Amino acid sequence: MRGLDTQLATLSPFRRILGQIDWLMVISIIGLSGFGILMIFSAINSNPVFLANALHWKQALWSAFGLSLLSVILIFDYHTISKLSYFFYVVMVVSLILVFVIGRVVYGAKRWIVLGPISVQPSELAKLAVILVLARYFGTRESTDPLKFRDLIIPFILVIIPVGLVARQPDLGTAMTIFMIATVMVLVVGMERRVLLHLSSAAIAALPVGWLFLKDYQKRRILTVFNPDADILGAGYQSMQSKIAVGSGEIWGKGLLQGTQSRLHFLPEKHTDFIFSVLSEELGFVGGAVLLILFLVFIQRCFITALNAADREGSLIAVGVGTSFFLYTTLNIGMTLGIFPIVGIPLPFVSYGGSASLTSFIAVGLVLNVRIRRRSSLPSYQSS
Amino acid sequence: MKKGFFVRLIVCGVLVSLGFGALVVKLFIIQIRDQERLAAYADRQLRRTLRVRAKRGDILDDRGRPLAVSMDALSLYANPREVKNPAMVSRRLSGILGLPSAKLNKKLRRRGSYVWLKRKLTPEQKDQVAALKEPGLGFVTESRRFYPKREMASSLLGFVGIDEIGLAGVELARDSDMKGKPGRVRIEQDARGRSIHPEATVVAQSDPGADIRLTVDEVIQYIVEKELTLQLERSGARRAIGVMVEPATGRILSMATVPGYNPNTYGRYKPERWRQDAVQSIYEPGSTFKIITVAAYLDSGGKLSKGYFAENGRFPIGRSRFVLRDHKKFGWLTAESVIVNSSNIGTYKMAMDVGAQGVYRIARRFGFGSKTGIDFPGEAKGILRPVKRWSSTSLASISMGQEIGVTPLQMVMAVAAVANGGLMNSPRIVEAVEKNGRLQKRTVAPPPKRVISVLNARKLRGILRKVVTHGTGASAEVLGYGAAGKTGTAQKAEPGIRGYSKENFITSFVGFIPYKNPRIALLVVFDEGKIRGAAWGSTIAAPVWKRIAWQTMRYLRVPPEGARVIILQDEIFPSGRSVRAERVSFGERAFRMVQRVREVLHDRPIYPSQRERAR
Repeated sequence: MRGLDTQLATLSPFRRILGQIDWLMVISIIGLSGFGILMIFSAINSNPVFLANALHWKQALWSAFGLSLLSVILIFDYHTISKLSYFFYVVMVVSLILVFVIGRVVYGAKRWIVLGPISVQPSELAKLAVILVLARYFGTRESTDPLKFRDLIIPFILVIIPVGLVARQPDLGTAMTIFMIATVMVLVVGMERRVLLHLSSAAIAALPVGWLFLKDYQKRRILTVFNPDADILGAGYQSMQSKIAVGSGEIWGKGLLQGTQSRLHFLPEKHTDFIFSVLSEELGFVGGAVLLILFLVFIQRCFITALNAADREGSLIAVGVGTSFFLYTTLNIGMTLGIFPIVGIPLPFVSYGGSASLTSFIAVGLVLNVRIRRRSSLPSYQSS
Repeated sequence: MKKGFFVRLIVCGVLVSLGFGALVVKLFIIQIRDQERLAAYADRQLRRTLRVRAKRGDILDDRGRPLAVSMDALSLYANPREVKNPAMVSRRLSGILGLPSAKLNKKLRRRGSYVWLKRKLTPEQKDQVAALKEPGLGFVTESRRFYPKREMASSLLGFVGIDEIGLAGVELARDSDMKGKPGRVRIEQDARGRSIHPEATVVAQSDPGADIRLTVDEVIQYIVEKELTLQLERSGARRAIGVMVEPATGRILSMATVPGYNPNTYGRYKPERWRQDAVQSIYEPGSTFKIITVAAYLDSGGKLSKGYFAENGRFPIGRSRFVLRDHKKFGWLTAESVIVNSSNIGTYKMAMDVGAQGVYRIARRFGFGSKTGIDFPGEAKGILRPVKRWSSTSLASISMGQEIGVTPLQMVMAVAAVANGGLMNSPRIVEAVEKNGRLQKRTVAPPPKRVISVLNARKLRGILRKVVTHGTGASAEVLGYGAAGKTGTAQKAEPGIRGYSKENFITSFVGFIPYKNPRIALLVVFDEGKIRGAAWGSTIAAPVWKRIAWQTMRYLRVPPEGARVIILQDEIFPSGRSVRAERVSFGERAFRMVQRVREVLHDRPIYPSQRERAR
């Protein structure tokens, strides 16, 4: 296999990058984006205002823009980017604070900053910045011993600042997701058994306390998961309508633009958070399964990248990004299927949204970057 | 790098796969396993089937004249989301609809997409509202019950509620015939309740209800109500009841309770006014019930020539303090003249000859104490206690029509049986059920029941004729026809005190006409009231009976006794000569016709022909 390496070394950097790109991953995200544009078109078709604004074309534009950003990221070594992690982190925290000052209120929450013609959702950036900063922190740590309590203090502070700010917006769903991504990354890094035991028992003990801090509508949404038929016109309405949409899709679906649940406005937020319901109603079990397979392929590629990464830093970036997509996907789809409470979390690549799309593509760019600059093309966990 | 790191990564990958596996399983459960339930739910909230009420059938009189009809009426609703300026709109609507502006304003600001503003508008209101051209207002066609004759026959017809469901009278009794089958239309609507297709799909056509043709005749009903009302006003009676029946068939020609109410606005009256007293209330019949006592006497083999000593106007019963009184000292009377003069003492002595059981049995046979079975809601069955619960004075009381409760309908049916030669018919109020003028079903009358023998019935008719010619019923006589009947003046049981009022009486007259070939049996009852300071069946009820009977005879074109029946038609309009052929004015034509009639008739009295009447 030496020969391959020398052969690669002689290629121009551009050719080298092109050759090492994980095409399976690229194809899966392009497929997902395609699904997204199609379903957004279908979902907004019954809404003349959205249709006039051509939200599906806007989404296509965002995707194209995202793809080009992704390409730009590939040119730089991920270490170069990673070195700027703390800078990104500070920018992110500042913008999260700015949200409170100049943020725009949507549905009772301040989540957006308006910059001229576009509005940015800093909580989306927060996710990425936390992944990068944690990867940087653990990647540059001298020792590779299991983490002790005091090793967790700085990462905890790094994570809790943005999580707290996002939760204050309030955007509890995103805040919790960021926290969970960080948790998975720390778990992958590995901690002492004693620490793990203490932390997990503390987390379990904290659950009831956390319940008390929830708002009434949040509690209702959670209880609805366990008893979906209790309040079909109230807290359970969205969940029920979503399930109806999915269920009435059957195997092959009603066909594009034929979904009555979405077209007749029974479904809420159908082009954003509930896009999967629209897809399931119109494309059926087959469409839903194809989408899930695309996500599974993509996320598994992230973890394989992590396995093959040149160093711990790269590996952690891939783990963080993979976990983030996994959580977003399962939480969103789980919500539309009534497994999880309704949390305002979009489906990556598919839901309409500029900030979310761009961060997704940037995140994919980072993973691809790690893969291109992996140790060898061989699965390397055997060799370590 | 350490091995543990890779192991943990692989664990992550496996967990990811498991997570996705769980999602696929859940997806499968919802889309394949629960699919039917959820698809049905989706269908249900999307499609809504609305019932469209069928047009309610009309109520017609025996000649097809409308007494109750259903007309289209538009109801006004609003979609508050689409109303632009609720304050202004409600102010304008308030003027048109006559509703308080504040109330309308509140309705127009209500949440939701559908709110009734006013049900069943008049055509003028509808036009005015439509002229406003305000967005968010709409009309729904509903049906409105209309009683064109207003108070006439009100307590007989009854009325319907806002949803056109019969609530009283014939409307209630024949509700199922008239209401028809509602149709169904399916509309598809979105989550905001807006219908998607402007036109609804008709799933099932509504089937209009059938018309009810009554046996009651509008003109006779009018005659009865008019005369009752006149006397009601003259005498100051609380209420008056009139029932007319055809003895040979049991068809009710009129059934009236005055004062009535206007069924178009029934809600403005006290519920007591809605009552049809002819069927739903009982009264003590007084002397009219002596007809039954005589029937029992005849049935038990009593002779009309038998003499009874009517004492000197006073007759204590047994050892009780109860003393029977007559209005006159009669001395000796024959059984026949006992009734003709309405002697209480004589009647009691006749009843004693029959015995309590005999009187009770005949009364039962005449239908007292049980429902007549007329097709009318809320019929009372009256009060007739079995003999074992009679006191020592009961026979005396009952023989003269006290201590017994009867409905006016029971009373008139009993007399109709006498008029019909002892054959009793069941009373009928509905002639037929029709649809689009075609007969759907005719009311089948059960065969008549013999209550007394033909001979005894003839004897009874003779007695009742004598009551009019020689007795208390003189003021009921109708010249040329021959009335027969019996007066009644009953003491009114006073609520509160035990016993009877000395002030208030129920006066009545019941009889039939013409007595030789009875065409109608008629009862009129007045509750309280006085004429010239006194309350007698002969002064209050009998004159009214006479006027009603006479007008009804004329209306039914019953020829008077001794009238020669000539068929004039061919003489007045000889074939081959058409009055129409000449171009003359209507007045001229009428004048010529009268001339011609005069020529033909000379001095012959004018009565319409039998053939014409039979029609």
